[in-house]
Amino acid sequence: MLRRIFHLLLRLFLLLFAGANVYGRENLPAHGPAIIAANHNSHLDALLLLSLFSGRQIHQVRVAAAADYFFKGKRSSKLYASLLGLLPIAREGKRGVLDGVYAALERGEILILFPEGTRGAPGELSPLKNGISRVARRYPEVPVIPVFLQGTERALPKGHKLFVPLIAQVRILPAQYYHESRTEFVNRLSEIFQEQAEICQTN
Amino acid sequence: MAKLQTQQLILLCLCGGLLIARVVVQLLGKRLSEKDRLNLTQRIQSWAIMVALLFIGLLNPLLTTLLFGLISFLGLKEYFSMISFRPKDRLLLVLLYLSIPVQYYFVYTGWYIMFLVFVPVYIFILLAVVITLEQEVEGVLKTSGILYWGVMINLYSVSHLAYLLHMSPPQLSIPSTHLILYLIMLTELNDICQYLFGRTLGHRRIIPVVSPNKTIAGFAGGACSTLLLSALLGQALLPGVPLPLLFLFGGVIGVFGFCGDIFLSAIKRDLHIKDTSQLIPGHGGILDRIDSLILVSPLFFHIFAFVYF
Repeated sequence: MLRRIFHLLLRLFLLLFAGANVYGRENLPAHGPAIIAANHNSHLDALLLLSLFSGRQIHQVRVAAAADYFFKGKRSSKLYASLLGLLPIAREGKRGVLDGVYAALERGEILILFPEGTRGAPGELSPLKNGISRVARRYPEVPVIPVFLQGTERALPKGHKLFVPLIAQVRILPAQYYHESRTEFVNRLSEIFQEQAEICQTN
Repeated sequence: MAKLQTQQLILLCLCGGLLIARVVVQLLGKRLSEKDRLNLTQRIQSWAIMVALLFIGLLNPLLTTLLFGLISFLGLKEYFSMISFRPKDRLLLVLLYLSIPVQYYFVYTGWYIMFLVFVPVYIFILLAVVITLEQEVEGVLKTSGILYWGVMINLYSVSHLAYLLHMSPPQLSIPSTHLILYLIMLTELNDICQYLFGRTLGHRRIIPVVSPNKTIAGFAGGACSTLLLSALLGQALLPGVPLPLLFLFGGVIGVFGFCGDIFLSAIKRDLHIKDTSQLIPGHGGILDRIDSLILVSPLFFHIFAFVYF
């Protein structure tokens, strides 16, 4: 399939011109439904996360992407959807914003989400938006795997076009599940990211 | 042809050695912990890939140049990823990456003067000028030093290995690929011997603050083995090179292979890093693998140049 070939090329490209030191690979889900919740500082983030999956798994992996940014043109939208598995999320919408996410989970797919909602300033954590807790509440049995990325903001920071080949740190943490409260869930994820940020700082 | 025979023979020996290692690990099966067994199997597999890549690289000069160019690039990428730099330095990093194909162009064409001076003169000047024009004063001295050092370690030093392609002494008829093979094999064997002697006989630590696992017995045993191996390997790969010179090579590699290794260890300790990256399963990163070659390559190169040219 076209997506598999593209995926192979993507992995080769990233191996050569980027790179990831991966910790906690055993926490990566083998199959869906599952959510990967990662911090977001660079366009490289989604590509690196996709590259963690094998050619056999990739057909079931999707990335939630801002509809207002990625899905502007008809041809580029098709390309993004078919080659990278991007899933449009209308950031400004009121109703049905998360319908695409729900549908993907019901199809048993692995969904990559960025709870911060947007790329933050390099190296900084923005407050997490509520979307992730709404999804988790609706599907409490779906594991939410937090992933902390560090270093992608040096390779391709927000607002810059120059890409510098650098190796990033990818820390995959054990799955989290929704308990009773949306605030509790968001706070829990926040704390996990903060903790990881501190670990990366001291190294 | 005599050249092909020796090189192929060595390749066969190495393949044999790797197979034996595989079998030994299988046989030891239950006596090793699961983790040890996985690690050893990965190490052997990685060795096999590295040997294959080296011998493919030695097939023709273009491949050799490309192979070492790739090693320099991956090493520099690891290095830049380990160190801290300022956001404005990003353009400079790209320019330094671009110096790699330039240096290897000089290697491939055998342009000796440019090969020798491009980094210490022109990249030195480029770095000084660009970093000043960034107008980011905080950390400028530290970053200049760190970046230049990175280019020296990954590009300048490694490119000497590739330039050996042009260093076959005209008086002797040794294929230049033998020079590269000799240097790399002896350096790696030195590493292995030092490790083995250290595991079996080692007690007193030789450089505890930098590398707690290295022992005097390890270093001494390894260095002596390297002296012996340099003569033996030299007879096979470098016929016509006098024995005292082979012993000199052995001594230099024994000492400075060790020095390169502990130098990188010191750097890793400074940066609180265990492995330079995860590129090579069971070994760590490229820098972890080539650290013994960093000091040895230019040294071996210039001893050769001094004696024969």
